[in-house]
Amino acid sequence: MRTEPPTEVSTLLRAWSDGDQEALQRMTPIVYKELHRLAHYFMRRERDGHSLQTTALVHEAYVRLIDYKHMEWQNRAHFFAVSAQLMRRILVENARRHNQKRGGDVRHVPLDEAVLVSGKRPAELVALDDALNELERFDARKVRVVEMRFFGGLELEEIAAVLQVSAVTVGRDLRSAKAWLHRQMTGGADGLRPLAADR
Amino acid sequence: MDSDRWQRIDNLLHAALELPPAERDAFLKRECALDQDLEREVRSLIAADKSAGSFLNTPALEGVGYDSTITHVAGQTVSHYRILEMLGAGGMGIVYKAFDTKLERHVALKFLPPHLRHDGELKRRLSEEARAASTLDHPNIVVVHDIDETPDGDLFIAMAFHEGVTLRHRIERDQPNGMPVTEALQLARQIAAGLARAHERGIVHRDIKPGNIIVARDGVARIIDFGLAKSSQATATADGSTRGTPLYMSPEQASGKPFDGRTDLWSLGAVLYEMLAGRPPFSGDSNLTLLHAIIYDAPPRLREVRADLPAAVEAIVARAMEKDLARRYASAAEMAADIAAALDGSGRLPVRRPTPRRAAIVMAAVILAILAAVYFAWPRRAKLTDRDTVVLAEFENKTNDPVFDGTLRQGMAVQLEQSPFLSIVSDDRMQFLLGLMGQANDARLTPQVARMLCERAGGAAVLDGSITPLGSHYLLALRARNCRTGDVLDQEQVQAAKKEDVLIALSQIATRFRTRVGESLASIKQHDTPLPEVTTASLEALKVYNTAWKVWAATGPAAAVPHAERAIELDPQFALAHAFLGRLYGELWQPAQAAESGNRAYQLRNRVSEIERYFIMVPHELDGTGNLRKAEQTARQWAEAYPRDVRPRGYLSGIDQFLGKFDESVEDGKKAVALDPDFPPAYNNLAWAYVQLNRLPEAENTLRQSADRKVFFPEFLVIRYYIAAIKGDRAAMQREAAESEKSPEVGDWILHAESCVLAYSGRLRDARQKSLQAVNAAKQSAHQQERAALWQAGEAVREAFFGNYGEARRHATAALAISRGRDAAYGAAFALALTGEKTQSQALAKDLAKASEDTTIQYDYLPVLRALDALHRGDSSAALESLQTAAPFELGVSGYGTGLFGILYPVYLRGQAYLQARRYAEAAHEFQRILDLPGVVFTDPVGVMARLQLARTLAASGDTAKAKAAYQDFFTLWKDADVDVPLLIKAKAESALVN
Repeated sequence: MRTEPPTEVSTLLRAWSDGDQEALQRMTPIVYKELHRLAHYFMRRERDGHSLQTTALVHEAYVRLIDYKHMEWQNRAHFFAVSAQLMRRILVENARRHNQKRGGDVRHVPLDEAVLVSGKRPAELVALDDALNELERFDARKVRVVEMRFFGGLELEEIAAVLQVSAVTVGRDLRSAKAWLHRQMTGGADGLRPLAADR
Repeated sequence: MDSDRWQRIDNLLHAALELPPAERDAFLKRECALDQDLEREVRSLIAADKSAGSFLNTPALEGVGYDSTITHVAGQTVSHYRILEMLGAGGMGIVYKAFDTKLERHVALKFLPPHLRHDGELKRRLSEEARAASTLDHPNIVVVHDIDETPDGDLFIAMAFHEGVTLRHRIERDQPNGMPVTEALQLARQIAAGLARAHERGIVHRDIKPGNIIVARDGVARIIDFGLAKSSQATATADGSTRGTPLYMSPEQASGKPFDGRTDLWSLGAVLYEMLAGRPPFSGDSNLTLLHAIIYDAPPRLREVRADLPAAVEAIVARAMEKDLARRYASAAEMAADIAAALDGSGRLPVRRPTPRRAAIVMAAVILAILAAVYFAWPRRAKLTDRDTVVLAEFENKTNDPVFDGTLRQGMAVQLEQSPFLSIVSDDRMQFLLGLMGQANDARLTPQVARMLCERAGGAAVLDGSITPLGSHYLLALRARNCRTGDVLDQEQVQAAKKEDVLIALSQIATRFRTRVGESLASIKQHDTPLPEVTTASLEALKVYNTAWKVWAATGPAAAVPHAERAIELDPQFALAHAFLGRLYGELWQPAQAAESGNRAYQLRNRVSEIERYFIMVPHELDGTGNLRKAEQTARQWAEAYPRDVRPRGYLSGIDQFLGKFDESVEDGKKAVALDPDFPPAYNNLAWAYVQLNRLPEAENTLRQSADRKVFFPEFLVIRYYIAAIKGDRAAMQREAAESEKSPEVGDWILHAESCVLAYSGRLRDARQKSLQAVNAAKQSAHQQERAALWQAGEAVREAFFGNYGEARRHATAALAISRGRDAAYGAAFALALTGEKTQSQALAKDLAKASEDTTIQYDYLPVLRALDALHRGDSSAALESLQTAAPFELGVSGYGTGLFGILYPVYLRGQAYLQARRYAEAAHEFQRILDLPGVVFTDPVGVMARLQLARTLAASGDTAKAKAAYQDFFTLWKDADVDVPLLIKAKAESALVN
């Protein structure tokens, strides 16, 4: 089932961890393809009653793509970081498609896609994605933190390793990002109107 | 919104959240006095923070920690099991569905984490416990069939396969709401029944959580992973980080006390709580705060979260989650019975209701718990770990004696820095953070400021203390608090009979604190020299020393010098004060005085703590003796003894470059950045190493990273200029040069670099102009005389190389008139030798030779000067022999960095010697080596020379075509050169003869 020899992605991953941005660009489509394939594979299994876990999924992609026995854990965290971004894309794309179908045609939603977004309500995912895009405009790091935590299931310590900041900083980032996103998505707390993000 | 404004909002948000809610209002009014928008924004975010609840707490699909790097692919057979598919991964490994080919049934195979492979003892214990668990036969426990090892030594467990979902999954389906009460109780009753059977057999699960309960379609709940919790604990320490979540951990587990079956009942209570409330009883941003909450806090009352809940059910959860073991359910059977009663009676039943008396007892227990938090130190549980950083606040001086102002904090810092276990946020870093917080560099470190700073630094605890007069005695107190929650971690008190004993008392209190927070006795024994022995017995001297640091922080090194000198006057044996004075001179670019003070500190090195000794010895080897090998060795020892100290890594990444080990420099530099991402020299050395390796994108990335952290260092401008120049990006070069005009630290340096770039393309007239500006700029600054001399020496070297001997001699003389420092003297000597001024050059060499331990002089400078002399005599073999000494160090970048002069000269001269000996292939090889290292050569004129010499070598060897190309290469480089440069005229003449 391997789509790419593990050494290739391993090499790219190492290069990227060492700062080579081009390696990331070359690695991304491969990982995306694999995650996407696995996600759908797992989704079908979901109907059999087994739970799906982001980490399990990303982990499966990792062991399929990477020569993991020769990889340092920092590199693994980097892999999980990029996978988190890709998971965001996969889930949000599905959610958007799901939403369109809901809006335009209520008859049928293909089962695997319905399940793919069953964990979280699709509308919520789409709103989250929009809010993240907004946040990205002035605080990209917090977006990365949310992605890694929420879409990638990474521990704070792992996120800290990828971003090279302390776990406490990650915790703080997460807390303010959550507050900001929550307000953005609910139209403000306590009836206060949120300021437009670009003001 | 722009990011600066957001940054400000974000900072205020956290500062406000830090405060008790009652104080926030005043705080925000004060901070946002003139900016109502700002205030509104922060308030609205505080409200959002409160209402966000469990928003985004669970990962998009499902979040369980996992840790495994074993994988088995579908179709593979392990023992007699054929793997079918992966079911999931969790903290204790990966689970696969498999087919038992012997008994022809489906099983679930769980592979335990691979690090167990190497821990025979743990593996043995685990399989023993799992084996014990396999005897458990109960409808609510998943049957274990088999425990075995793969040929690779990975432990796996085969258990019954049940179609179903985990309870975690089931809970999430209803989130953010809780599950139907009846369903929750039914599940809890079954789990309690399963636990009852296990506890009867003396087996404690230890890790009851929703992920360990499988719920089948028919509603049957089954517990998995009996006896395996140990392996997850092992996971927690395998790579030093905690994985998974302690959400359901009992207080006794959280505080490291012994526990029994009742610990499972707490966890079940917490699971039931979550089933009913839709969220776990405790939450926290980090495991640390979570553990703290479990030990001390009461969870939000269930009926406040869920109004429709019968009081009886709330009472069951409360009883299961009693922090006091004696009040908790005594057995799982008892709990199961209560749940069953609640189920069939739906509220009518005779469940114990909390009577008023009981409520009072609960209250009393809570108060006791709070008191215990203050006074009771758990003797065996580490409150801090060796990954935690602490910040020291000022001591409060309640005496009238000003001698204690600042002194006690300084003393405590020295005392605690000895500990390899604790990491104290250094004064340098503190200043940097204060700046970020918009505070003055020398702001008073009140406990409050220190606490904010601690959080900013990612620290775990903040320490403050006080000294109070007690009759004729003194009472010293030290308090450690969690800097996020403000909770007291430890308190110590000690008395001193008289003033002179205060420093000793301070040492005692520090030692006690170290013991209490979890440092091992062995470590304390090894690194605990009493304060008077490692600093000074004179309180006055210590006070002045402390003032010196403060002045340094507030106004810089020059103003601090008199204070440091005064401290030395008060106690001439005060080694740290000497070392500090040396550092001050170093920062002032006064190498001679720096070396002198460094030397004095070195002689007194036995009067400091171990860590300070390293801090004295490494600079001593670097700036005093110049013995790079020893410097490297000492720094490596330092890094090993104090692995969390960023300084040795910082030094190492620099020393690696001196030794020409650029890859190692990258490694050490990365480690330094990881240890302290706010330590500017770490980025500086790392970025230089990347430049030297010609890995420019990574160098740029490093600088970007530091900019993201708001970490700046004057030299970054120089590095950026170098990068732009190597890339030939003229616009960027101009930008950096313009930027540097504002920088008093590196303005002259960039001017000289600009001059070097011009000279490198043969534009000597323009280059001289820039050099003149550089020299004048350096001379204007009182502390940069040494650099003025270096610029002069550099100019002398390149004029000599390019054939302008008069200019070369003039600049060499000018350099020597300013300074006879090592590198300036060498540049002058080299230039003079090239111009044929043998006597003067040899005199300088003789002076240099006196530094008998200096690696650069003995293994680079002197061999080069000797080889040059030999070449002038026409003795190429003597030259080659002399250069052999230099071979191990010839790639090294000496004291003043790349691009000026002196780098790779041994290689260049070896090429010359081979050329003279008509060993053309070897000569060409040496010159090519230079051209292959553009990041090291940069604008050193040796790069120009290597090109031309390569052309000459090829011409002499008769390879006309290649020679022509090589000459052309040189002429391209010098296409804009001044026409009258002797080197160019000569090259043109030579190349015309190549046919």
